[in-house]
Parts: sequence; structure tokens; C-alpha cells
Amino acid sequence: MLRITCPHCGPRDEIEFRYRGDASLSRPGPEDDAKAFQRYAYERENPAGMHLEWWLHVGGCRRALKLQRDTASHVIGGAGEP
Amino acid sequence: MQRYSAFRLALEALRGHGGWQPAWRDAAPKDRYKVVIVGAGGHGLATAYHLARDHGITDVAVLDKGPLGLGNVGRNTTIIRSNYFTAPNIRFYDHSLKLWENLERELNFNVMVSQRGSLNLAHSDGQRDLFARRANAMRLEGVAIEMLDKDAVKALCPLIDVDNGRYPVVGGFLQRRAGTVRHDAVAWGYARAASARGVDIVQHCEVTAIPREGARAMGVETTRGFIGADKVVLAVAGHSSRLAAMAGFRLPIETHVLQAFVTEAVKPLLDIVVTYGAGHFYVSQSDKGGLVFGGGTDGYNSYAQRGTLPMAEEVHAAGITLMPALSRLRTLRQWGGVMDMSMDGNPIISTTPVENLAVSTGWCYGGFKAIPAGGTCLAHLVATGAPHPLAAHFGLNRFETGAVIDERGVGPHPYLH
Amino acid sequence: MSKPERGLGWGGLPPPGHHGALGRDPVKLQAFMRDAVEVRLAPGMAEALRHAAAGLGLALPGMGESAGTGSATGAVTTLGLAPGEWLALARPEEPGAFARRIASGLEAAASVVETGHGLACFSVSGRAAREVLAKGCRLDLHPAVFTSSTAARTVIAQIPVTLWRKDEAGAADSPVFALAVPLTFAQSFAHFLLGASAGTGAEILPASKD
Ligand SMILES: Cc1cc2nc3c(=O)[nH]c(=O)nc-3n(C[C@H](O)[C@H](O)[C@H](O)COP(=O)(O)OP(=O)(O)OC[C@H]3O[C@@H](n4cnc5c(N)ncnc54)[C@H](O)[C@@H]3O)c2cc1C
Ligand SMILES: [Zn+2]
Repeated sequence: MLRITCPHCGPRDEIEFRYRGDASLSRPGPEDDAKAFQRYAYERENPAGMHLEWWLHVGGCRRALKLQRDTASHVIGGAGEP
Repeated sequence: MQRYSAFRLALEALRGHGGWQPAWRDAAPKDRYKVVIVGAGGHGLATAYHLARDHGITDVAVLDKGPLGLGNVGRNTTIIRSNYFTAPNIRFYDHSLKLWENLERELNFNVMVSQRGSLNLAHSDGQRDLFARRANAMRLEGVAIEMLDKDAVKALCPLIDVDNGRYPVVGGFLQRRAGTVRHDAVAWGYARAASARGVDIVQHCEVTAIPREGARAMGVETTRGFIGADKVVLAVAGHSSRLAAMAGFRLPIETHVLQAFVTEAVKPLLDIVVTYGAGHFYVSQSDKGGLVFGGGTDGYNSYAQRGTLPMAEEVHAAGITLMPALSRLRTLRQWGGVMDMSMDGNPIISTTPVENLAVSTGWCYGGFKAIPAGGTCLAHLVATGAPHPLAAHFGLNRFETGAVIDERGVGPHPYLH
Repeated sequence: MSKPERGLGWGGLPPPGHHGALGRDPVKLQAFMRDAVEVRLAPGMAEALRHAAAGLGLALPGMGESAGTGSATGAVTTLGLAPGEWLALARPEEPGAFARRIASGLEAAASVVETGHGLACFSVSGRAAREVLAKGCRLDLHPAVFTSSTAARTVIAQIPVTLWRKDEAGAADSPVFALAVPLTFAQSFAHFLLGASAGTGAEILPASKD
């Protein structure tokens, strides 16, 4: 069970949130080639350890936040506004 | 290999069962192999077996960091079926189903294939239409499937509360050839058959690095020393990205946890596999009598190999909504497996940017049923260098060309597959 | 059968009477009606909104900085649910009148959307109210944490819920929790309340406009 400290709502239960994937990716620009978009859309670091990720507080303030979480221990390093 | 038969069983019974031999050799690793397969799960073991049987390649080692069968091959809910939507998938999974139908004879091992049928429920007209479309796609490939109305669902499985207030059942979709197989027996059956053909099965041998020389892998560094290899094969399920990183490339994979649950044993109650179409829940009854059930993934990247409470709660709630009688049972055991979720929800049996390294991954929550066909196709790829026609659509390059196979149309979001 | 009153036709709770165990301290369950508007700060208009809200006599707790506070001024309760986002609730009046009044008062400083027709409100009150809600609510409802000026959006029984306190300050002993859920989930939410209060017992009160 995760307890995520939303920057707007304070500590809340994980059931109020929806996971939205890897937040370390940045979208390529129009000058970048198809390969760059392939990497962005599909390829993932998928670490067994600290992971920067998007979570959406759908059941609370409905804002997106970035979370640092260990994917092996579930320890949360911190949460903040994007 | 000591063959199993009714005669041998009778003989051993008379001799006090003193004459049985170990089913397979627990080998120590050699310095070098023609093929090193990392991961002694279903796919690694079946691949080793098919390399030996179909291609005469027996200088093969299957390495695992733990004991045999403790990965997803021994953690899944044992369902086999071929009720897919896209034609190449129906062909691949139905081929697998046909191999299951003959597997016990083939391996001389009782893997308890039970073709009890698998029922998927529809709860809205839209869902029923989608099933009808899927059924038609299957029929076009010559695979039998039946559409059931609400009364037929009730007659087939009286446990289902077809009139439940939130998600009434409007019908279903039944594949009679689908069913269950005893999962750990599959690992043991393939291990035994591969071992008998000369394959080394090496337990407690964790791969820690994959040294390269230019575009080629030299072998694998392990907790039991370096093992050289002409070819390296990765079949490590949820750990695929870690192993790929060791070899220097990224995969379109995220690792997620899926849980399973077993109740106390009861008398025969449910003689088919049932999948709820409105919530995260599917269930079958094991031969020991426990109800074996599961649901969706926990919803976020995880290597934890244990489940979280919210999904456990959701699965139980969905189960009781569908089959209120289940509320009388106690759940005895629960566990989780770390799964290789691909970006389009479909497997990858493919060559990689490393010339002599092939990978089998992306099995998501459905790779158990694929073990016989997956092993056949991966062995073919490793032995011949060309993809097996049945798995040609599972290449890694599909993410580059755009030929992704999205059965459900949810896009590159593994947490939604 | 009598025609249900506007906004109370969704059934939810059973008819007035006792429900569940015959305990000493039954909770009171009641459906009630509110007109509601969602107020959202327009980008760069914080100053204008503060001004306009003051003109309307509308308190906007948190004013963009934080969520989780509620405040009642006169007949209007305003709940700060996210930065720059409030739910304003008022006793039912002529359909549309409340929203029109707020919208014309705030002008371009905020977007105002009428949402009252999509909400069902319940109150749970009495000494056992916290215990009953704790069967599904994962927020800490202790009076030291969830005070009479706290408001929150959360999830109970898989249903999105807006939660606030409807009592006067100092009523720690016998709090009145108010919960608004989407109207389509009203019946399911009433099921949850009935299940959760079966052990303590509940007094079901007639639906109200207050
Ligand atoms: C709860 C659950 C229910 C499921 N239900 C079904 C179902 O009903 N039907 C179905 O078809 N599929 C199901 N699946 C999916 C199916 O089990 C998997 O897709 C499939 O087993 C994966 O392939 P495998 O057997 O080769 O993997 P595994 O058995 O996981 O094998 C991978 C092996 O790699 C080893 N390994 C990892 N890293 C290293 C390393 N560095 N060095 C050495 N070895 C390493 C691991 O120890 C492991 O033994 C389910 C999965 C789960 C978790
Ligand atoms: Zn929040």
C-alpha cells in the first residue's frame, strides 16, 4: 500500500491516484527523426530501483504530480509538482 | 531418461518406490556452450527442448538465478486458450493449444492438461458486439468458438449472478478447447525432456553481466563464473530490461506485478474457467479443490514480486460481485509475479541489436499458454537465424516500422494492457 | 405514489426509520439537496477574483495556494478542492439562479459551471459517524485533523466523493459529515452507507433541503 504525499492535498492513499508512466522522458521535437519518436513512445529504462514517474491525483485534486519511487521496495523518495 | 508408465508405476509400487530416479540433472556449468539460455522458466526450458529435438542442438545450458519453476511459470493461474482477435495471434496461440493437446505424450509427463472450457462474460451490447467480432475472426482461422446468451451462461455456470445490479451479464463467449494445465509440471516436464537430450539445467546461477566484443556477446558473467557462448538467449520474463541493459540496449518493456489467489479447498463447484468482463476477476477450480483466481496488474512498475493490498481488495470485490457464493470461502494464499509487459501487450520473439543475442519477452499476463509455441518459435529463430512463420509478427522491429499489434487498442501504456 | 421532489428522486436511502442494529448510538443518515457550482480561477486573474469574490461575500478558502479547506459564509459553503478550484454549495433556490448570481458576480475572473443537478448529497452524523465512514473512507477524520473547516475529495467504495463538515465549530463530539457523490452513483453509495452503518445502527431521516 502506497501513501503518496500530494503537494496539494497532503498524504493520501494510492487508490486515489492513477499511474501514468515514466516521467523522465521528454518528447522529441519536429526536427527529430522517427527513431527518436520510437524511443520516446516505446523504449523504457524500466529500472529496478528509483524511478521518476507521473501520477494523477484523479480521486483528489485531479492534478498531475511527479513521484520518485523505488520499484523494488516501493519506498517513496518524494513527490512534487511537475 | 526413465520412462513413466502405468507399468512402471505398478512395478515401483511393488518395490516400495525405491527405484525412481531424479527427473532431470541438476548440472554444474561448463566453461562454454553453443547456446546459453538465461531463465529456466517455461520459455527458456521449452526453447532448450526444441533446440535439441527440432534442430539437433544439444550443447545448451539453461541458467536460472533461483530454483527451477519459481518464476512466473510456477506463479501463473494456469489458463490456456486461443481466443485472440488478430489473425496472426489466433494462429500462434492456437498452434500452442494444439501442442498442449499432445504435450503429455510428447514429454512423457503428466502435465494435467484439462480442456474444461473458458467462458468470457459480456455485460453490455457493445462488449457483446466486440466478442462477436472476435468470434468471427477466430472462425475465419478455423478455431471453434461459441457465443452464449444470458440463459446459456446461467445454465453452464449457475454460480454466476447474471442479474447483479451493477454489471448484469448479457451473454458470453465460450472456447471449449481452452482450459488449464498444471504449471509446475510444465516446468518439470520440459526440464526432464531437455535434460534427457543432453541440455544442462543450472540452478542458482545468476547472470550479472553480458560482456560484448563489438556487436557480439561473448557469453555471460554469472555468480558461478564466466560462461562463454556462441549464442545467448534471454528468456527472463520481468527481468528482461535488466538483462538487455547488461547487453547495452533498451526494450519496449515495463515490469509490472500480477497477483494470484487461492481459496481453501471445496468440493467441485466450478468446472470451467470464467472471466468477468466488467471487473478485474477470473477464476477456475484446481484439482485439489481450491479456487484459483486473479485480476489485473497492480497498475505501476514494480519488481517487488508480491502484490499490493488495493488490487487484492478489488479482485475479491469483483469476484464476490460476480459470484456471491464466493464470499463464504476464505482466501488461503496470495502471491505476485513480475511480468514483462510490452508496449503493445504482445510478445517479442526476436533478434536484437546484439548480433548473437535473441530475446523472448513481452509475455505480459498471458505467456504460460504460449510456452509450447514460444519454445518452438524461439528455437527456430536461434537455430536458423530467421523468424518462425508463426511468430514473424513478434519482431522487435515492429516498434520501429509501426506494425505494432494492439489487440485492445489502448496504445503504448502497459499499465492499461 | 407521490411525485418525487426535484433532486430527491434518486432514491438512494430507504424510507425514514431505523436500519441495522439497535445500538445505543445510531448514526443519522440523511439525503439533502444543494445547488452547486464549480468555480475555477482564470489564468492570471487571482487579484480580480479575490476582489470579485469579496464583492459577492463569497469566501474562497486557500485562494489558489492549497486544497482541503472549506468555509461557510451565510447560506453559501465553499470548498477548496484544488489550487484555484472550488465547489460552492447553497440551499436550493430557483433552478439556475445560484449559478447565475455567482457567474455574473465573478465575471471573467473565473469560469463557473453549474454542477448541482449532477450531485447527490448525504449527511452522516452522530457520535459513531467517524466509525461508520472509516469502513470505506481512507482519510483521517479525527476532529484534530479533519476539522469543521476541512474539505477533501477522496474515493469511498470506488466512488468519487467530496467530503466536508456541515456542523458548527466545536461539535467534535457529534460531527456532521457531508458527502457529495455523482448522482449516477447515489444508489451505490447509499448501499455503502447502509452496509457501513448496519453494525452501529442508523436512523434514516427524511430527505431535506436544509
Ligand atoms: C499471477 C500470474 C498469473 C498468470 N496467469 C497466466 C495464465 O493464466 N495464463 C497464461 O497464459 N499466462 C499467465 N501468466 C503469465 C505467464 O506466467 C508468463 O507470461 C510466463 O510464465 C513467462 O515466461 P516464463 O515461464 O519463461 O517466465 P519465468 O518462469 O518467470 O522465467 C524467467 C526466469 O528467469 C530467471 N531470471 C531472471 N533474471 C535472471 C538472471 N539475471 N540470471 C538468471 N536467471 C534469471 C528467473 O529466476 C525466472 O525463473 C501469469 C503470470 C502471473 C504472474
Ligand atoms: Zn492532490
